[in-house]
Amino acid sequence: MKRIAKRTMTLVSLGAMIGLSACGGASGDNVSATQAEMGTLDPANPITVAFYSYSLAYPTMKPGMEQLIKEFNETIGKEKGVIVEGVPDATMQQYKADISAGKAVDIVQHPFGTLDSSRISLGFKAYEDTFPQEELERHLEGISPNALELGKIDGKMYGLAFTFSTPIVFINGKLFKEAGLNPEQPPETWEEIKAASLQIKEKTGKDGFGLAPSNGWITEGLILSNGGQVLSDDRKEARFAGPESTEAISMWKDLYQNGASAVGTEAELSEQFMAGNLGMYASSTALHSGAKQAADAGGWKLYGAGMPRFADQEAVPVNSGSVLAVRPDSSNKNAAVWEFIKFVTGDRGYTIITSQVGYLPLRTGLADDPNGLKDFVEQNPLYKINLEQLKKIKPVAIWPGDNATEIATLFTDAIVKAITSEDDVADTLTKAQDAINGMIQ
Amino acid sequence: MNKRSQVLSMFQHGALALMCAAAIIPLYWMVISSLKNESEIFTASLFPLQPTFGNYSYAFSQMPIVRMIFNSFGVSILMTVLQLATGLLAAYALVRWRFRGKSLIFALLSVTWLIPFQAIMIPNYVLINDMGLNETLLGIVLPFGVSTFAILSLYQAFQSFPGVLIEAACIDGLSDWGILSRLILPNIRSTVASLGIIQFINAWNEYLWPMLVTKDMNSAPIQIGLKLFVNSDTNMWGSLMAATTVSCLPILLIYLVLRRQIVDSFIRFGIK
Amino acid sequence: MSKTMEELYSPLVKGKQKAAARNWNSSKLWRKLKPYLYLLPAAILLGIWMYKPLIHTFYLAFHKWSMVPGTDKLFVGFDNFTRLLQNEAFAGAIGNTVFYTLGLLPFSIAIPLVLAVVTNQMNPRMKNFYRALFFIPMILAPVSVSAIWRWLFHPSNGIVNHLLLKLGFVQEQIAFFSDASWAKWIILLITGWKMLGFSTIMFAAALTGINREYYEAGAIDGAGSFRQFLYITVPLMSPMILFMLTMSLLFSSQWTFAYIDILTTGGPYGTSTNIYYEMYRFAFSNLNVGVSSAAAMLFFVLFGLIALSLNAVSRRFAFYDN
Repeated sequence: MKRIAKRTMTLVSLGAMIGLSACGGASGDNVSATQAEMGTLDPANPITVAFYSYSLAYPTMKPGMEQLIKEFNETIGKEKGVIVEGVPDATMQQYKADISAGKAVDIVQHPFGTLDSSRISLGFKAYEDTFPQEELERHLEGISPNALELGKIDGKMYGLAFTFSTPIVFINGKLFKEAGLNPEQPPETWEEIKAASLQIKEKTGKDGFGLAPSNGWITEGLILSNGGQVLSDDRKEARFAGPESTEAISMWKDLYQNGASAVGTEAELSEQFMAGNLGMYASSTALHSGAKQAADAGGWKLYGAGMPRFADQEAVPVNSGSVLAVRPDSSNKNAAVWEFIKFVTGDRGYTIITSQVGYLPLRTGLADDPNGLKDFVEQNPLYKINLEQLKKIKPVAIWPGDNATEIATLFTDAIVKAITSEDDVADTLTKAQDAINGMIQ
Repeated sequence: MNKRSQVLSMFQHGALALMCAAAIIPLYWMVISSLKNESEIFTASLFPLQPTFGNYSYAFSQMPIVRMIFNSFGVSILMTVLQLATGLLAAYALVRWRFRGKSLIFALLSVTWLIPFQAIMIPNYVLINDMGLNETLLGIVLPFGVSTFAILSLYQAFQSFPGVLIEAACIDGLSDWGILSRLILPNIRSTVASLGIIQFINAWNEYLWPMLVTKDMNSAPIQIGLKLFVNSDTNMWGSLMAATTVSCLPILLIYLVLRRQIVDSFIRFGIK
Repeated sequence: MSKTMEELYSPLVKGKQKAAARNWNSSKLWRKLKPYLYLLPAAILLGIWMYKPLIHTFYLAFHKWSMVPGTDKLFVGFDNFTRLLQNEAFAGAIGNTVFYTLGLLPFSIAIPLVLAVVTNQMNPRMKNFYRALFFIPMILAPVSVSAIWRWLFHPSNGIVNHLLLKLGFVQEQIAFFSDASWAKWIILLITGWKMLGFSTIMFAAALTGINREYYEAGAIDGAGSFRQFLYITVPLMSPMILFMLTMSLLFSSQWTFAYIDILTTGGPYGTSTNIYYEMYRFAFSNLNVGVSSAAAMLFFVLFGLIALSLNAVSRRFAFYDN
C-alpha cells in the first residue's frame, strides 16, 4: 500500500505530463458533454457498470473493496437494477488502455495528480454536468470540504474524494514501554522523536524510528512543516533548496546517520515494524490494517501519533489517495453510476473502506456515529489523529511540464542522497533544484 | 606424491562442497522459512521446530497459484513448440537448398542475436495492445514464436546429418516434408529434445515481456504473479517463501527427472 | 480450371504436351519457392516482432511521444540523443553497466576456469553429483531468486544481517538494497551466483576435450602446474574462453535487469541502475518513448561493434586443437 503512495506520486507527475502533451491533440471537449439528466433504471434489466480500481489488485485492500462492491450489488444494485463489475488495475494503466480501445470504463479509482490530464485526454466528466445539481449537493454534505476541494478543476468537480491517507507515526507499545516511554503520550516534535528513538535503541537494542528516505510524499510534509516550499504556488519553479527545507532535511539526516533511525527501503522498514523490531514507523494510514494484524499476531499493542512538528511550528500533513472519476456514456448509465457513487461515498461506503481497508472516513461525522465508525474509532484511536490532521492537510506537489516523472525522480533521489550519503545537504538539494528548474523552463 | 594427491583431492572436494553450499543454501533457507510459523519466522533456527503448512494455505488463498502455474505451463509449452516448429522448418530450408538471399538471411538471423529486447519492446507493446492481446497468454507467446537461437542450433544439428541419406530418400520419392518429419527428425530427436528443454526453461523464466503484457494475477505466469505478491504486501515472509517455493517447484522437479539431459543441453547450446 | 478448358478446346495431343510443359514449369517454380515457404513462418514472425519494431524504434528515436494512444508523434531531430548524452543520471547508468560487465568476469571466467581445472580429474560419479547441484541456480527464475535473496539480505529480518551482527563483523544492520555502497554489489553478487556453476560446467566440458598428451609433454619439459595452466590449458581452452567472454560482455547487463527491477528499482539515487533498466524506465515510467528509443539505438550499435570486434579477435587469436 505504501507503494501506492509512491506510485501515486509518480502518476501525479505522469499525469501532468500527459496532460500537456495531449493539449495539442485530442481533447475531451468533443466528448458529448452535458447529460445532466438521469435515465431510468429497471431491476428486470440491470445495467452493468465497470469500476476500475487499484485497491482490488492488492491483497490487503482487496477484501474490503470486494465487500464494498458485493454489498452494493446485493442491496441497492439488485433493488434498482445496477450490476457493478470490479476490474483490478494494479498500475493504473489498464483503464487508459481500455478507454483507448473503446471499452466502457465508467468509474475509475483515480489518483489526484493525473486527474487534469485524464479530464483532457480520456473524457472524464464533471459531476456537475453528469448528475442533478440538487442530488449532488445533498450527497456532498458531510464530506470534508478540504477533501472535496482536491477533486476540483476550474471550479468543477472531476473527482469525488474516495480513499484518503495521511502520514502517521505508528508506535509499537511494547517497545515503548520496555524503553520506559509512555505510548499514550507519544513524541510530538522531531527533537522528541530523536530522544525517544535513541532511548528505545539503548534500552531494547532495537531501532527506535523509521522513515524511508525514498517515501516520496511524507518528505514534502516535512519540508512544509518547517516553513519550506517544494514547488512555487504557480508551479513554475522548484523551491526545495531553500534554508527551511535544507534545515528540515538536515534534521532528518541527523536522525538517519546518528543511530536514531532504522535503515532500509520503505518496504523493508514496514516489514521491520510489523515484525515488532521497530519502535516508531512514519508511514501512511493506509497501512493501518496490516499493522494492526501484525500487532495482534505479535502480541503487542499498536499506538500512533500525528505527523511530528518542528519545535514551535505547526506540522503540515500531506495527503495521498484517490478520487472517483466518472465517464458514463448515456443517461441511463448516469443513473446507474450515480447509485454506486452514492453508496461507496455514503455512510456505509466510507465505513467499509475505513474499517476494512484503513483509509480515512471522509465523512468525518461517521467517527461519532454509533451506527458508523464510533466503535471502530474507539478501538482504533489512531484514526482520531488523522481526522484531526485532515483539517490542515495540504496536497503534494504536482510537478509541471513534460518531464514530470523525471523531475519527481530527481527530487526523491536528491532527498535520498542528501540523507544517506556524506554529501552536503544544501549542495545536493540546490543541484537537484537547478536541474529541475532547467527542465521546467 | 600420494600425499600430495590426497591434499589435492581434499582441496577439490572442499572447493566443490563450498560451491554446492553456496548454490543450495539459499534454496534451503527458502524451503524452511516457508515451513516456519509466525513466531519462528524471524529466528535463525536452521529447521522449523513446529513445521506448519499455514504459509502455503495462506499463499494459495491470496493468489490464484494453480491458475498461474497453469498459465506458465501454457506459455512455456506453446512458446517452445512454436520455436521448435518454426526453427525446424527454417533450418531445413537452410540446409537443404541453395537459394537466392541465403547469405542475407544468415546475416539477418545473426543480427537478431544482438538486438536487446529493450530496442523492440515499445513497438511490440503498442502492437500487442492494439491487437487487444494484453493480459492474454497469446500476447506473451507471439513475439517469442520464433527463436533465431533455435534456428541456428538446429541448422548446426542438421548439417551433421549425412547428405547422402537425404539424396537417397529424395530419389526414393520421399517429399521434403517426409524427409524432415520421417528421416531427419527421428534421428536428431535428442538434439531437438535438448533444445526444447532449454527453450522451455527460458520461457518459464522470461521476465520483462510477460511483466509488460500481464498485470492481473489471473492472466499472469507464476513469475509475474510472484512479483506482484512480493510487491504487494509486507511481512508475510512465510507465505512469500511458500509461494516462491511453489514457483520453483515445477522447474526443480523437471530438473530432478531430466538432470543429465538438462545439463548436457546447456553445455551443448549455451545460453541466451 | 484452365486445364480443362484447354483440353476441351485444343487438339488432344498438343494439349497434353502443353500441359506437361506447364506442369514442369510450375514444379520448377514450386521448387524455387519451396525454400522460402519453409522459411516463411519464421520470417513472418521475425518480421513482425523483430525487424519491424527495430525500424520503428529507430523512427521513434527521432520523435517525441508519450505512448498514449491517439496522440501525435512529434519530430524532434537529434534532440533525444543530445538530451540523453547530457543526462547526468544516464552517465551514471553507463558507469554501472561497465561495472556490471567487468564485475561479472570473475564469476563467468576466472573463478569457473580455475574450479574446472582443479576438479578436472575427479571420479566421474562425484563430478556428476557436484555438477547437478551447482547447476541449480542457473535454471531458477530471476523473480524467485530475487525473492529469496531479498529475504536473506533483509536489513532487520534477514539471516545474513543476523549472522553478521552475531559474529561481530558489523555493529549496525546493513541495508543492502538501499545503501549506495552495497546495492550494486548485491545485484552483481546475485548475477554472479547464477553464472558461477554454469560457467564452471561449461569450462569443465571444454576441458575434457583436451588431449592429455599436451600435459604429458609439458610435464616432461618440466612445466609446473601453474605454468601448465597458463601455457597449455588457457590457450587450448581459448575458444571456450572467448565464447564465454563474448556472452558475458554482451549480456551481463541484461542478466542484471530483473534483479535491479525487483530489488532496488535502480536505487538508491540511481546507483544500481544500468542502461537497459534506464531504457525501460524512460519508456514505461517516464513515458518518454523518444529518449528510450534513442538509448536503445545507441547501444544496439555499440554492442554490435563490440560483438564484431570480439568475433574478429576470436578468429585471429583462438588457438584450436586440430
